[in-house]
Amino acid sequence: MSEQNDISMLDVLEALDNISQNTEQGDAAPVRRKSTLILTDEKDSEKMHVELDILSLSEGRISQTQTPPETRDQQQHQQQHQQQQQQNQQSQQLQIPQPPSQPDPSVTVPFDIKWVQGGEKVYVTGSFTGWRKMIGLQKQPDGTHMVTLGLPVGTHRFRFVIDNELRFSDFLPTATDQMGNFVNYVEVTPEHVQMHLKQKSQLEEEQHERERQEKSRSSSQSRGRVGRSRADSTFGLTNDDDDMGNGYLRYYDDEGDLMIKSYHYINDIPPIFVEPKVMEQYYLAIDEQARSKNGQQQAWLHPPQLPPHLENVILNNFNQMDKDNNSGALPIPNHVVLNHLATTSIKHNTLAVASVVRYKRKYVTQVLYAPLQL
Amino acid sequence: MSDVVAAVPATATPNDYIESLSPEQIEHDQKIGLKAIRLFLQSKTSYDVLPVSYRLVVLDTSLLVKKSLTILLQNNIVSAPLWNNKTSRFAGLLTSSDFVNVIQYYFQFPEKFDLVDLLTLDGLRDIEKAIGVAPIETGHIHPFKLLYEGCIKMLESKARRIPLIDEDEKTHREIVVSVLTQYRILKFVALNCRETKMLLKPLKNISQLCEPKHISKCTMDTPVIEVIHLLTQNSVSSIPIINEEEKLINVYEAVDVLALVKGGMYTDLDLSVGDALLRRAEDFEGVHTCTLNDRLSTIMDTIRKSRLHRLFVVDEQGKLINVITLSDILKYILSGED
Repeated sequence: MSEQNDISMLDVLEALDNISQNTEQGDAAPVRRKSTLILTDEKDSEKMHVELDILSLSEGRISQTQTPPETRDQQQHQQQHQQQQQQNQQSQQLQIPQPPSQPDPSVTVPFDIKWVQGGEKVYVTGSFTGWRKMIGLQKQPDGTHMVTLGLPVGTHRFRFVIDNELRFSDFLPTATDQMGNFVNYVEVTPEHVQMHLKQKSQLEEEQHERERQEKSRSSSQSRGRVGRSRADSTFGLTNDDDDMGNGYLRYYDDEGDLMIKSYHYINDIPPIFVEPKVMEQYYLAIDEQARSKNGQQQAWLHPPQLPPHLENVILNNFNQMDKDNNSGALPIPNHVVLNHLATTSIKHNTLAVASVVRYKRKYVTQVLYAPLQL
Repeated sequence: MSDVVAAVPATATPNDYIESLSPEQIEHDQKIGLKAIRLFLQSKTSYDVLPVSYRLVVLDTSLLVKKSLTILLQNNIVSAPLWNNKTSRFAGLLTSSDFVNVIQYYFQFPEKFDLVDLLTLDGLRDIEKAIGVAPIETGHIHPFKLLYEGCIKMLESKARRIPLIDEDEKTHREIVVSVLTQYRILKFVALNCRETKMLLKPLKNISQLCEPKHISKCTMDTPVIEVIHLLTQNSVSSIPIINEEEKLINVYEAVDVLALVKGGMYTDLDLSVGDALLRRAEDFEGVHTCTLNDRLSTIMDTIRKSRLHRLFVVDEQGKLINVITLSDILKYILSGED
């Protein structure tokens, strides 16, 4: 299976390149990352470090550490500006803690892998073991085979080994890898993890509840003597919902009413967006205002910065020289980059635009080359 | 079918096993293997061949021909689907044969260099008319049609590839999904169809594959423009180069003209083939050959491992006997031994 290229690994390696490029350029590269690269001596351990580093971060945060292209373009734009941006970035980094929606990568979701197409010795091998280890499947009473694996968030590709023969299941989603081999795959999303965690906590809660009920039963037996029913309700030990949510619900309702009153929708487009004259006046007014405040509020003159997660363009990870890759295979894009338009700079009067779109269950990155003057 | 595969004794080497088979057994296996591959092609769609995520380069038809050449070379590809922005429709494929046509046109009308220099992709059809070659059919197929149908459609086309076109549900406009080549389909079969191992019949016994063909040849000293003429006259994708003993020493492929006219330079057409080949990229895969004793199982294995577009059949002395193209193999898989 050594010829199997692990796409996600490739991703990480490319990311490494990006990082080292950034450190070379030296602008706004985060201090932490620099130190990882400098402090470690051995090449291997260095790689290991950085890989782990990236894996332990959520995707959003990786790209945040890279410089937005605007910064590079406006290098003649001064220090002050850059410092400000660095500050921005740093404060951004400080401000944004691990987003609650991004679960810890070490959290896994149990996933049943089933093989229903016969055979005696059934194993599964895949990206979750680096395609090296084979995991045996247990024969079920109905003749099928099954194993439950704990999988972290991500796309996992795998194939089955049935009586020493490499096969894929017709009953699971299939795709072709870089080489053109059929593989099965499963996608574990953060939602899966959350659902799993919820189920788990529900189970735990139910268990708690049972324990609680047992406790309260025993406590009610002893209530007369100890008399701590009040303490029970304040610590949430009793099963009384009204008691728990007292006051909070009403407060929330009031706030909701206020919000509805203060805003309402209209059907007319404000003239500032459709009347060039009004638009111009508005800009002049803002410009004036900005000048009077000593140029401090000129932010609107510059286009807003690209959200950091759009920085990682998978097309830039494409290795032209990889001859095995004759199907033009790319890493799997992060879903946030879908339906965005990417462009090259205009060279020789030719412009290339690209966009990643979903096509059924696959991703097409279409690059269109067109001349500038039509 | 699996029981036939299971009959391989675990200890014997594959060759011992093949030697031990009777011609009848081989004949029988070959038929079963072909049938299984056909079933495979009938159970999968063109969509299945595509990777989960991939790149597709599309060229606008208002691009200049010389710029499109640069783009192809930059992206390390030899063909691209075209898009007409005025009609918002798919407009066929740009292939190496288009560049061959332009070269021939320029050779016939050297005084029209200005026209050639400012030629856009729209104008390629006029070039075809001017030099009197039939336009390449732009048949296409929906990605969810069976791979089998795609193969049949592809064999009808001279382009040796087939665009996959879908329609947008809302706007009913065409979407260029991808382009499949014969090589990609055969590689897909070689990778995913175990039954290719059962095709053990030697080529010399497969009449469909070793029917003698007319092969145009050239030597290292032949002017490259003559070789280019040969490509169009015979509508082939390559011309083998032989030495005075008729031994195969190299090949000039249609895709090699891309490097020849790089940057819109048409001044090197009087070079010899040998000199023209010096322009070839260093990572050239080489020329693949086989003998009449080889079997399709080994050929499919080679297709799995390396990119090839045809196999030249040579004898023990290295003399060129025949050529087996990917279309020949595909045709044989689709209709052979019936």
